[in-house]
This record gives sequence, structure tokens and C-alpha cells, in this order.
Amino acid sequence: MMSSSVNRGKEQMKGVPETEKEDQRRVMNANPVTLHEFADALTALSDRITGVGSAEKAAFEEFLRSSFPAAAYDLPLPRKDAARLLHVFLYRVCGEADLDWGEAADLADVYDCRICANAIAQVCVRGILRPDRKGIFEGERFLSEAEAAEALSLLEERLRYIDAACDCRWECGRNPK
Amino acid sequence: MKALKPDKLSKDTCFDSFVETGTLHGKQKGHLPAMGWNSWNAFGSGNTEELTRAMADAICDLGLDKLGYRYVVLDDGCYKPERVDGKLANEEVKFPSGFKALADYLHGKGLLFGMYNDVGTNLCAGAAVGTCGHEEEDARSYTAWEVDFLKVDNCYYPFDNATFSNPENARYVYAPVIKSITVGSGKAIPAKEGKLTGKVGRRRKDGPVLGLGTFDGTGPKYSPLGNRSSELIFTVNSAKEQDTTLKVTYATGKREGVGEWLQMSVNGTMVQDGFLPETATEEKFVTSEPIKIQLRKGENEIRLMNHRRQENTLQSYAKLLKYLRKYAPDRDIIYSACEWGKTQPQNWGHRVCDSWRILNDITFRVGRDGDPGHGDWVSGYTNSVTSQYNKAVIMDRFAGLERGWNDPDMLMVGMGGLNHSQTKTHFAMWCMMNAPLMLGLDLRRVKKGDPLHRIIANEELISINQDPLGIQAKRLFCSACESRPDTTYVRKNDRVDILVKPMKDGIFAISFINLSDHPMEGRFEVSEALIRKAFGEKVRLTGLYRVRDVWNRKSEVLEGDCFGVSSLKPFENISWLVIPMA
Repeated sequence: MMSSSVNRGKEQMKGVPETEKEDQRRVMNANPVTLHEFADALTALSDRITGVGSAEKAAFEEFLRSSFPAAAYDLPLPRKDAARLLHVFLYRVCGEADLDWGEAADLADVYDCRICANAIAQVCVRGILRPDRKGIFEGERFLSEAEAAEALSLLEERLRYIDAACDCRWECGRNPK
Repeated sequence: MKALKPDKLSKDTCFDSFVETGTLHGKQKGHLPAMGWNSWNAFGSGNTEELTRAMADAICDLGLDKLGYRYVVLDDGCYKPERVDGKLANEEVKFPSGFKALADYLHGKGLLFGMYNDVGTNLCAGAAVGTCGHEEEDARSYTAWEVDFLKVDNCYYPFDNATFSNPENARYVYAPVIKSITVGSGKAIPAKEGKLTGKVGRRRKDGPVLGLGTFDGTGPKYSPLGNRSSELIFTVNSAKEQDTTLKVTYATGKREGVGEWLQMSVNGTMVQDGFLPETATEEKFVTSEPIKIQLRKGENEIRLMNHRRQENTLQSYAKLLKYLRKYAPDRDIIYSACEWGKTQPQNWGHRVCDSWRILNDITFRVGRDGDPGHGDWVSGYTNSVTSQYNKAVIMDRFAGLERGWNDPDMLMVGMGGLNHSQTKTHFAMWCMMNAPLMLGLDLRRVKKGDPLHRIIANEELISINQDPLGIQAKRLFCSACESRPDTTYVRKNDRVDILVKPMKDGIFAISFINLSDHPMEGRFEVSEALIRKAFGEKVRLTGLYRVRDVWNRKSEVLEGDCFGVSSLKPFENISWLVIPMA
């Protein structure tokens, strides 16, 4: 599903000045996922979650439409933006409330991205997206296909567990519908 | 697309002009701190037209407009993510009626309309609609939308390593490592013979100097006071007046501390302001092409520096201002710089802006519809009441009616995470420090007379913030300081501070603040002599006063030459209006 993204990433670098190319190469890792692919995968996941209706899906789509320029959709997705998508999915689609940051507050680079800081903390504290290495999230690095698959799997597993274990939708971190 | 490059400096925007008090492009001054509501802390990028109208209605229903809260500001998340025919456009699902219709609605209620943008290429939330390179058309749009307030951020800034910018943009704002200079056919003068000023530069053990630039003040680690920029200054003697050359031996880098852009001046005349050719590494020194210079007989001052971090940012803010003034010459738009203290805006902000943020954000856990978000009292970074306060409280020298205001970010009153005492003290601190009072909560949660309303509608605290003299309080006592409480940067919060603020008619305000999480017992006081020393004739000291507690609204007569309290509960502030009687 995500295999064409490497070539597409290279295509995107045509005509980019050398210094910017170097910067992009620095953060490009093997098999990056595009925004389009990751958003599609999340939308597909929302179809499999109990109780998710059209309003929740529309809210997620609204976030996508208003947050990213069209040109960004086919570009490799930085991990910081993956965290934003996952966080919006958690609260808009799944109705989950934010948790305290816990150890995520100790990530040395958590404040590098002001608008992603909470999203990074929320996905890290839930274990959905892991820090790149001890104490560093590395938000500028592109999300790899393997990381995307793992995050989606962990998210689905988490939602299934919550659905199976709890109806209250309060103490588990999910808001009442 | 045309490559972006920093503008050529004008005399008005160069570092040496910062001390001048004049403004650029006829920027109007004399504004008191702005008061209003901003969407960010309440709703983040999820704000909508419907929510904004509801907030405007609530401001009026709660009587907040009568107290001065008049600006209703749309923060990030209100535009389409791309320009339409080169222009800014409203996000149609969230703001279906468009911005002019919203402005009309607000103006119809007697409120004022504020918007948001960025000096970079994109807004912080990602939309590719920053003003960089679009200043003129954006100023036209803001004029057409009848905007009264503009908050301008600093993400994706192409001429510095700002948030979301290429980290290698540091090459614009730091000079290369300098090994030596050579004047004419003379011997190379090693860097060690130059005088290193400021607190950023440092000498390597083997002699060369790096760090010729301006310290990044986004984080809370260092004091904003003192010289935050470094220069390397050589004094060269010449036996006669002469035309000669100057060469520099240098090595470039692209990181904080080492860049590629060098400014050089000889006896005050700029002879170089641009990139030097890149070197292979920071260790591989090369010598520049000769630059023509003139020396006078006797001592000559040669300065090597890079003030572009401040100058570029000032120029970008000034450029938007220029077009706002061109298209809306009669509109007194409040201009709020949100560059997070990165470029030490306390030095230059007064030339173009009404306020300047002093740090990164006060919270990174903003709310959304149905969730109040979260604020903290303490944190190791900028995201807490005390982080912002600790820096702003020693910055009173930069504030004033003819300059503008230090902005410790928007209020977190009403957000989760702060208890009632912390919330009261947060509000009192911002009032005493003449900070803009921008509410950041969902006002539908507030009822007239409830605890939140009693804080944000405290008329006496607001009168302190809006006092026409426009003097930021000075810290005259700090239990954690051995000396100089007004200038010592203290980040340890286990302490009591006393702030004093002169007001009109010789009245003054005093706040006793316990920042700690435990009760404080003792004698915490300031004397008339200390107040006189700090403020001279700005306060009337008579030995007999009516003292009014702004929280419990009780007054009592005080006779004596000291003002003090003996106990403060955790996080408590006791704040007084002191009215001389004799």
C-alpha cells in the first residue's frame, strides 16, 4: 500500500535547492509514508471502530482539509505530523480525553514543535508512536512504513481493548458519547 | 518561485538604531496593554465562526466589554491552507461567512476584530499562507476586513533557524568562526587581540572566536538582561588617513553559534553585510577577498558581528507594518509580535509593535470545544505561569507607553491544571506587569459572579493594568535574592516576591506573591525609602495611607513607613491599592 512513496519523495526533490535537498535527505529514512497514505489508513480504521459515525469522520476530514496544503499530501510525512493526525484521531474520532504527559514531558525535543508538542506527548504516553531513541522523539524524521503499520496496529489494539473492557467511557480516558 | 532573501538593511532597522526611541512607518504609540479574548488557548486550531460569535456574545453578556475586554482575536487555524489567487482566504467550513462578516458582527457589538499571521512562509499550524513575500497583498486584505489587531508569529521563518525552519538557516544569523583579520599588507591580527563583547561569543582554546550573533531567547534558561549579542572589536592604529583593504580569515558553519553571514564596520561604516563563501568545514580556514576600507589617522574601530537575527526579524515585522500603514493610515491597528523572545525583541520591538512575546508558549495543551485544555504553575520550560512570570518580572525597563509591553503570553485563567489560588495570582501578576490581558477560555463556562468571573472582572486589578501612566511593576523584594531583586533572574519558585507599581495621582499598587506550594511565614515588607529609591516622584509617600485589598475589597488606614505582610498561603497573592492620605 505504501511502497510507492519513496519514488514519490525523490520526485518531490527535483528542483529543490541543494541545501534543502541535503536537509531533506538528512531526515529521509527508508520507506517513508505519505500524509495521504497515513490519513487513508486512519480513515479506514475509523470504519472498524464501534460507535464511530459520520460526524466523527467529518471532523477528522475537516482537520485534514484545514491543516495541510494540497501539496503536502503526496510528500513523506514527518513523525511530528503523524503524531498530530493520531492525536486528532484519538479525540475527534475516538472521543479520548488527553492524558497527563508523564515521561513524555522529558523528551528533549518535545517543545521543538509548538503545535505538535501535546500530540507527541499524547501518542508517546499511550505507546502508540514511540520515541526514536531514549529521550528523543525526532519529529522531523519521516514516518517509516514499519512505524506507520505499528502505530496503526497499536491504536486499533488499544481501541479494541477499551471497547471490550469498558462501557463507561470515562475512566478509560474516553469521553462519553 | 523567486528565492527569498533578507532585505538590505536601512539605517532605521540596523542594530545601531535600536536605542532610538522613534517608531518606524509612523507606528502609533501610547496604547495601554490590549485586553480581549484570543481563540488559541481555548480552542487551538479548532476555532470556528460559530464559537467566535458565541465568545463575542459572552463578552457582552458578562459585561467584560465594559471592563475593557474588546479585542476578539482569531488565532491560527482560520485560513484556507493555501492562498487563493495569491490572497488569504477564510477556511470555508469553519468560517463560512468570511472575515468581513465576522468583523461586522464584532464591530456591531462594539468589539474589535483581531487576526493572526506569521512573518514566515507558513503559519505555525502548517497553512502555507505566511506573510513573507506577501506583505502588501495581506495588508490589503486586513484593511478590507477592517482588522483592529494583528498577532504575527515567527514559524517557518526563512532567514533564521526559527521553529519549523531549516535548522541550517542559522547560517544567516551567525558570523563564521573568525581566526584573524588583515589590514592592507600588514601582518594578520589574530582574533585573540580583538575585544569580545556580549554573552554569546566565546574564544576557542586555539584562538579563533565563534558565537558572533544574538542569543536565542525562546527558552527560559538565561536572563533577558545585559548584552545578548556578541561582537569582536579590533582597534587598529594608522599613521595616516588612507584607503586600504581588509581581509578576514574564517571558517563557516550552519548551526547555532557558527554561520556564514558576516557584518563588518569600520569606524561606524558598514563595509560588509552578507554571506562569505562557504568553507569545507568549521576547521578549514580560508581568507576572504580584500574589502576596500578607509582608515583615519590614529585609532580605528573594526567591528566583526552578525546582528541579522534581530535585524531580519525587525525588518519583516516592519515590512508588514509599512503596508498596513499605507492601506489603513487612519486605522490604529494593535500589532502584537509573537516571535517568542527568540531575537531579544525587548531591544527592537518598540520600533514597530505594541507588545512582544518574551518566551515560547505558556501552554502546549490548548483546549478545544468541550475540553478546557491544561495549564501548569511550574515547568522546566516556558509552559507555566511561573516560567513566564520569572522572566517578565525583571523586564520592566523595556515597557512603557512610548515603547510597548512585554507579553508573557495569553492568560490560562479557566484552563485545567491551575487551582483557584494559582489562577488569582496568575491574573494579578499579569495585571501588575502591564501584560496584555488576552483571555483564553471558553467564556460559555463563565457565569456572572462565579469564581472565574470574579477574577477576570476584578475592576481594581484591571485598573492597575490599565493605569494611564503605563508603568510596569518593579520587583523590590525577592526572598530568594541576595541583592538586586529588580534585575536578578530567579527561576527557583520557593520564594516570596513583592512588586510595586506606580499609578496616577501618586497612588501605587503592591502585590505580595507566594510562588511556592507551601505557606510562607515571616515579615515580607518594603519600606517607603526603598519605594522612593525605585520610583522617586512617581509615587506619593506620606506615612499615612488608605490601603485597599483588591481581592477582599476591604480598606484600612495604615500609618507608618513600611508595607508588609506576615503570612501568605500557598500560591497566594495579597494585592493592595495604596492611596496616600496626607
